[in-house]
Amino acid sequence: MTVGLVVVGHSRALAHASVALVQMMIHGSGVPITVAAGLDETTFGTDATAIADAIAAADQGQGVVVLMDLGSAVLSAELALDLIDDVVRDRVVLCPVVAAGNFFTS
Amino acid sequence: MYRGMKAVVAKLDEGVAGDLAAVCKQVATTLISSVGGAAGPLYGTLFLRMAPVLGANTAVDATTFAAAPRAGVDGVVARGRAELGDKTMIDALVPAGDALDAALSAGAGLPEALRQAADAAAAGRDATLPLVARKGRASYLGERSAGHLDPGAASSAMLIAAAATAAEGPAS
Repeated sequence: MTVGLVVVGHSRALAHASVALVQMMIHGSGVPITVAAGLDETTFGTDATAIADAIAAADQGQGVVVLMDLGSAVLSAELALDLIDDVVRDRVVLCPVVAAGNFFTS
Repeated sequence: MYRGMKAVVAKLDEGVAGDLAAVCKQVATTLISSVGGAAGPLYGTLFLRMAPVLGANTAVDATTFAAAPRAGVDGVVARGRAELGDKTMIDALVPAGDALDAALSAGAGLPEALRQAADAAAAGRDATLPLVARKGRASYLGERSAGHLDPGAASSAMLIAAAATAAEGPAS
């Protein structure tokens, strides 16, 4: 079991491409990575309920690091913490990062 | 917000089973998953925090009702970490909550109290015009944000005006 990663962003395509690039470099590590980005395949935005689901899916009991871009991603991730189990919440760390390509959609 | 509220209206038109808390939670989750921008988690928090105050009731008195938006606005303030004068929805929501409480304390009925809240929200919205935004995306514009109404304050004023109109009932 390892710590899980959740990638939160405004663009689903950009988030999946970022994860694919990372997966190539951490091949076989077994780190669970889930994505909560965009409202759907083409609509930009963040959704706290989707982030809450992604945290639950990435959690193996060792904790989850949530990486998010700016703006509403931070607010949505904070709200997602209100929506998940207390036990899981205690092992979640929120980590805002700036993805250069994402900056203007945040 | 247009997208979010359209989704909420569609959801409510389908009929939401349950008590007032269930309705508030349904409105909140619909906004959270359909708005996309910062208004989603902020208005989502507003309705989520209203839910436990209204609780497992299908009707409440005016005093209990007024406590719900107060809890909601407190939640928005905590979530957004904005202060009055930052040029945000807080600038409409906080004076509206104050006006609602003051009107009810003075003995006004709920429709009248909500109308005064809507008037206070509109005044708060208008007062954002000359301000320089210190929170949210508008803050990226710095001085250039002065001279424009804050969109969050404007949407909040619309929301409270709609509540007042709904409380007044159909025009006779």
